[in-house]
Amino acid sequence: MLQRRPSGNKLVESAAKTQEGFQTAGNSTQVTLNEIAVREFHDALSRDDEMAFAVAAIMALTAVIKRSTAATLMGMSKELEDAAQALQRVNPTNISLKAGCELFLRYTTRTSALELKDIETAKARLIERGLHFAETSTRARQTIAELGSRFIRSNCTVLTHGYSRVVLRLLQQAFSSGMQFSVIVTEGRPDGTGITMAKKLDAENIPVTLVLDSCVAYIMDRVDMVLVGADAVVENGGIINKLGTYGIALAAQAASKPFYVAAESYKFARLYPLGQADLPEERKPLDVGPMLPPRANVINPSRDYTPPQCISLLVTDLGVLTPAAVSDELIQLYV
Amino acid sequence: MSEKKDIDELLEECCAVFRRRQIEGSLPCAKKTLDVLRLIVTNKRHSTAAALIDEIRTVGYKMQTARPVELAIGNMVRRVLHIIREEAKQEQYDEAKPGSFTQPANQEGPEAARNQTGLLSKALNSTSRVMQRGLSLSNLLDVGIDPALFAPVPSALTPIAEVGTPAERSELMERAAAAAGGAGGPGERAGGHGGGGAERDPELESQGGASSKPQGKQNKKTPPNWKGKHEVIESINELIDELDHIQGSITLQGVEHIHANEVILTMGMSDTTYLFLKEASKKREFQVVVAEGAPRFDGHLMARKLADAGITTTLIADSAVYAMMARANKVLVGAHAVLANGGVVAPVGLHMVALAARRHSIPFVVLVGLHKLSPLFPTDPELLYNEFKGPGDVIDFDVVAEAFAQQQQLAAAAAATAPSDRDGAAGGAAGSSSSGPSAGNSSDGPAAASSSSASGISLALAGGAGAFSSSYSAAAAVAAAAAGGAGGAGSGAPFPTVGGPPRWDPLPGNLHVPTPLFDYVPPHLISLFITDMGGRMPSYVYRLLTEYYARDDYFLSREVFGKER
Repeated sequence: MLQRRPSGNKLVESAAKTQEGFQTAGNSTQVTLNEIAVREFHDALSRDDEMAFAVAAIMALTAVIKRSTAATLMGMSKELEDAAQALQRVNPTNISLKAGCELFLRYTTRTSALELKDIETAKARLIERGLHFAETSTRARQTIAELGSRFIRSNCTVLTHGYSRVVLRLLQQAFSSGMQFSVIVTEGRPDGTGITMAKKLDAENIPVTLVLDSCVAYIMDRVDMVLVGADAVVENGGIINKLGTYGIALAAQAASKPFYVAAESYKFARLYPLGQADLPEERKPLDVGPMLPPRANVINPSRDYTPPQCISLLVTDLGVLTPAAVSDELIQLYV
Repeated sequence: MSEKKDIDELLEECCAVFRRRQIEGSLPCAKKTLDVLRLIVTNKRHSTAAALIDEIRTVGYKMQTARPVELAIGNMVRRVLHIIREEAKQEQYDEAKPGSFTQPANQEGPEAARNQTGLLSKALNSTSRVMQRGLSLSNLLDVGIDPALFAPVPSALTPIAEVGTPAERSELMERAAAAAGGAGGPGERAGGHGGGGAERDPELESQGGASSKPQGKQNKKTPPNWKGKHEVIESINELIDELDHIQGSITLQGVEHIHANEVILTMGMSDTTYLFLKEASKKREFQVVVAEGAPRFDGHLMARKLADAGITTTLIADSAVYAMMARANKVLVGAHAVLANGGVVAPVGLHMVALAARRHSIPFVVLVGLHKLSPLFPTDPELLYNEFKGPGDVIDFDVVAEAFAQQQQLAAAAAATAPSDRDGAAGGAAGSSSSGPSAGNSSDGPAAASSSSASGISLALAGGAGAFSSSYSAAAAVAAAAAGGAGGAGSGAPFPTVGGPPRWDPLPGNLHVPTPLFDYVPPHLISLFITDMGGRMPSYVYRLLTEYYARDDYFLSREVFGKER
């Protein structure tokens, strides 16, 4: 796992590794707690197809609280922080996971600061909230679907990119409310998530057209609105999403088409990327066929950053927000 | 009963007034709405906040549908609903607080448990900001918690119970318990409230309303009036006062926004803009360029009034806006409504002005009172934001009337004859009725009449104007040929509708004269709103919405209301 990691993060990772080693000597329970967290995280993801990374992370951290033997809230917060770090080491480039961990940690610290009862009740309350969160997240999707389906008008054409559960839910909702519209889906190379999306839309009898990723600018003048999901929503209101989203946003902007984002509020992350270089780098192999000259480099990021000025509105479970509203929400939580 | 009937009559009357457009303008409509709502809150009995909310919502929806284009009506209804919700929440909060501190021994099992589990949410809610805004990222985890405790809400209240925040839900539950006649519970709570709500009592007495204390005894005879009502009425009065001062607070800011020797461009007549400029002219020396605002030409009045106020004024045609924009330092206009994305519905022509301003990087400033702030998006199916006036402003009404009469004749003739030899008959009718060039315009009457049914996002103006310029110029030339040409291909009565299915008749005078009242100006063209609460950016509108309206009230129609979010 360590070999695959980008060089930039190596220093941090090795530092974390030493810290972990140090803890192994001093505190073996932390290691087991971390293992529990990671196992629960994977379990949660495999249990439910609809499970989002952030929600799985919160479930995992809830499991940590359950098993925690800490006598003080301080101790428990420390355990949680360690477990959160362990979770993020599982998938260091997943920002949604990071956002979920941060959200839950923030809750625990806020609670411990405000709560004056004994630790057992505090724990019980945190567990209750953690378990409840899975339900909250499904409700969030439903809220987004209801708010967002009002943006889809009759006879309009929606362009979407890759597979997003919340976008699918929104389109289903609009379709079931009797709206006639068609969807253009990009192929979503290299993982072909667009094809998944097209299949699922077709199963719902929603008219769907599949286009190449490189066809976006060509097709843009037939499109009435762009609707995409997001891996994470960053502090300035921009989004991090599947590679190609930025290109679509630019094309939409050039053609003066509205660009809407559907995202649950637990994807709001405390990041402030200024450009593509600020995203966690990924090195995934890409099969480009045998004709590639041996000295040519291949860069294959899986996500890009779309700046807020390209985004018309964000449909979230907190309401329909302008990109500027995102930082306001984050400030509410973290200040 | 008779009292109730009076109110119903009054409501009908008010709706009729809205429908007949006897009240024009956002501010008078808003005031009228508030008057009616205040009357309902004052005179009707409601045992719970939920019942009151229900009633106001129903009445409000009725009033809004009476005049859908006047969004201020719905906005005021939402404001009142928000006031009631806040009052209910505050009351619940006040009750919960003294309860847990002064009488911990009295608490029974379930209530104690409720207080225990609710503590975190209360702690998080304790900051007034969180209380104010309902759902937010900072209370995301607490929303909808304790389903077991909030589940047994009586069915009558379920719509709100489903959509409400936990604080509201527990409030409703308590109210429901009180309404059900739990003898011990309400009395105990009333005692707790007496201690907690001490600071509100003087206010109640000054109001001269019934104090909250005898409520417990009335409980058995008639359903008690919800005791938060007095505060609600007080708040509505404040709101009405606020409306009176809106224009004043906007105009007072004039001096801050206009600098010496600036050139201000505006279009049409707007009272707020006029007063704003007049106020600023007391301290500043500046020039105003007024575009005439065709087809209403109210810019002429504006120019005259400004000149009378001693401001150097230049009147220009609308078509000269782009040319004059290079000289302007600022564009100042009024608006009809602010939408949830920060765009505005403004008098027609302003989109063009906004685009010209953007091209020249001139700030486009919109003067607007916050009673015009609507939580609807421009794409919202519920939103009807345009209205079409008669074509009289654009085309001489005599011509229209004459053409309409001819059209009627044509239609009658076509209907009378059998479809088989329709061609010949229509040709004959057209031939007999064509008297001079007006025959070329023979379809503009019906077209204009039908255009009033058109609405929607993409304004019919663009297509209509195109049709206008092409066919109008051609009209005179083809008029002579009208009889023969029309007869040759004539079909039944031509009623081409704007936006509807195309039923174009090949009569040469096919002419649309749509005169929409409003334009939609998208948020990215707007630099600043000057509201009665100060300057605001379009991107800040979402925040204003959360401040003034409860999220559950965004849509007043029942269908949306019943759904679970």
